[in-house]
Amino acid sequence: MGISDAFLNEQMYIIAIISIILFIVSCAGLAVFITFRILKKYIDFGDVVCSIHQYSNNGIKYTVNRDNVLLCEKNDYMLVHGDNPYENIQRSIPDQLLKNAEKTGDNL
Amino acid sequence: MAVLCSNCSGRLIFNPATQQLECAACGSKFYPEDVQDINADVHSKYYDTRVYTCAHCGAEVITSDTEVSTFCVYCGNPSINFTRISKECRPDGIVPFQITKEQAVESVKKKFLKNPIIPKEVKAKAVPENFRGIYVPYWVINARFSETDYLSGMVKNDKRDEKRYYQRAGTCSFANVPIDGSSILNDEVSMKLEPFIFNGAKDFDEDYLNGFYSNTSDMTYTGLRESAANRCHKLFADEALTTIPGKKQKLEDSIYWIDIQDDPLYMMMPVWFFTFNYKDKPYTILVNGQTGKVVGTMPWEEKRIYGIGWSLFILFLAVLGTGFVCIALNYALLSGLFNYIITVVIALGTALLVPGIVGINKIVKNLRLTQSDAIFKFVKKRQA
Repeated sequence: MGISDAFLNEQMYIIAIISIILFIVSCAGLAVFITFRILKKYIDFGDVVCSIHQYSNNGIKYTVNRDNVLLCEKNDYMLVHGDNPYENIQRSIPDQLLKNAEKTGDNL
Repeated sequence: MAVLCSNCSGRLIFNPATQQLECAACGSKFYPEDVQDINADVHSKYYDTRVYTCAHCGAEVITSDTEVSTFCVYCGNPSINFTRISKECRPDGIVPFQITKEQAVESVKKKFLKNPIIPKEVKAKAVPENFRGIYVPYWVINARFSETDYLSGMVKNDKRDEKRYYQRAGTCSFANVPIDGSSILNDEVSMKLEPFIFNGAKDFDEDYLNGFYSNTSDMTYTGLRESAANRCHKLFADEALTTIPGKKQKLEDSIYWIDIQDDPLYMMMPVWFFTFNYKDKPYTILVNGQTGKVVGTMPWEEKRIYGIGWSLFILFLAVLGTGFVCIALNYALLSGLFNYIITVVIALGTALLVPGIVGINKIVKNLRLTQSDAIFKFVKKRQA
């Protein structure tokens, strides 16, 4: 047996191992996914939550809508928008919430 | 307190089917607005309640019904005792039960029909005695909301997946967002009970509570603001994620602020609790008492699920194995098409492994959430 034959055999051996692993993984993938779909259908109820359209007629009014920004721009960007626009607004608070605050010592 | 029948002094119970109070003794019917409790002052900010406490988990429930249940609606333990009469703040409104107990049982049973995975033992527990109607306190808010999001998604670039980043900032006006006003019920669960339809809401009248349990809000304004901000953030971020291209969209970072408008409404919402024990663990399935939506994850027959999983695995192993052998032996004149099909199935199977595992993990997480000690935070808190 020549060197190239041995090399070929070794390559075939590796290819065979990889094929078997891939083959088992794909079978497991199909089995796991179908099992998940069965559980989802027969076991898990009401896992749907409302979207924004249920509670807002106009949806979001975007002030910034930028694609393809850089990862390093993130912190600057968050900092620019980091001020609370509602900071000094005072609102009237219902009695029940005030009563609960008294119990817990929450000074709001 | 319990209102009695004007004809025979019998106990009046609210019937969701007729939307009337019915006398258990003589069968007389009255509309809640027409019945007057001589002890009640409708102009008062407060109303009288009977508070019962579970000796096991410490949960408090309120009921006007003197024939209170023999077990705790939250943890399922048979150790519930009357503790005191209490004056509670009168809610602004109430969404009366539209779904009767029988309909709630039917809604749950419908999910059981032809369902081979749910254990028979659990199916047998879907009986009216295990269902309790509870008015859960909610705050219904209107709010202005601002959010800034930093998002990412995988986009194809020269046949390669590339991670791209996106910025979204904006404002949104929310109206009639229901926020679970009780720290007992897990927000993740109460959120799934939505939507509640507020067109069916009435001015609060304690007569609607007859025959049901209720709870009062134990939340502070700080807690409400936090819950409302988290709720609006989820709605906003989910919507923002739909505006970016590619796949595997992810919220990388966000900041948000909320301004809750004056005087959020204090409302009572109807929920049926189906509580049962399975393998020494308490489970609670919820049914929206207005729409009939069933929320919860049922325990499953483990042997059967493992059986299904392994059978599928062996089936695919046999089918794909045969395919491989055919290719290896250069069988089948259709070898080109055959190779193609096998390659696609293998690629598909490999690609589905991760979503399958993630999906099953999510269902297991939901199942844990259905177990009462996760639904009701106080159980863990009080037992600690």
